[in-house]
Amino acid sequence: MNPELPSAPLQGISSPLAFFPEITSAYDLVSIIFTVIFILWALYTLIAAYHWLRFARNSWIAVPAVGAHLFVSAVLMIYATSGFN
Amino acid sequence: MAEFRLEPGEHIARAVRKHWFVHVLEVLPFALLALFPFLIPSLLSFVASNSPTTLTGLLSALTTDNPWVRLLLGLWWLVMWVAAFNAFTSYYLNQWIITSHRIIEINQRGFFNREVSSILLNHVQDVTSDVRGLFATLLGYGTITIQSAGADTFFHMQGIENPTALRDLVMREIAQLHGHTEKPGILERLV
Repeated sequence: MNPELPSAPLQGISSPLAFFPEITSAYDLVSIIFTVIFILWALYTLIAAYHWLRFARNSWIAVPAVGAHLFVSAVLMIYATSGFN
Repeated sequence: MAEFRLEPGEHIARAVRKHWFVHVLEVLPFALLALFPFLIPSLLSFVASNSPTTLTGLLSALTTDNPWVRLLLGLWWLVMWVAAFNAFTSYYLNQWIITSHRIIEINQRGFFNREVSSILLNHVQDVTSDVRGLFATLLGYGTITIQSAGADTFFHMQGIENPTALRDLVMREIAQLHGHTEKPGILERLV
């Protein structure tokens, strides 16, 4: 018998959630993932809106384009979270 | 446009973007990818027909009643929408402006790289328009290349609407700049 091998019984691999004790359920995980995605989306939207309003502000399409982006994104985000009410 | 100011006596002759069909071709992959999730149940049912025990449970869970499916579907569509909106933003903010004195090329490469370059009309040496392909010929879009007199300076824009008319416009503005009139020459009248 190889003496370097552990004699104690092997422990099961712990879940990745064990590293985040605040996450107690899958719903908590969803809310964290969604928050991260929302922050990224908000940053993108701010930058895109800045470009539209700075470089195309004289165009009639600038405000409707930003409005359409906000509206469609909101509808998709509401749809994505609608099952978790 | 905030990037440049017109000189006294300078006026904008035309501002052009890529042809709408070129933009549609750029957005089309995102539209197709947005529809891709609808193919997954069909693909799984095809696989399940060969091994029914393994995938039947998964297949029954893949409905929009499942909140996880909705979450993934909604986020996937959100990503596709942002990508398509990004392509539209890039399409709209990229343009060529032909004034009575110069040509201004505005090139938006991503959000933090905006290049605005100008070439004076009296430095233009050669203007080439190129319409190539079936759709380009039918819909009237192509490439226009402008070479300056100095060194290796090229202005190059692909997929632009009606490049032949744009080339003629540039040549007309150059002629006006040099004091030539709009009246046709002797040869043009004879032809």
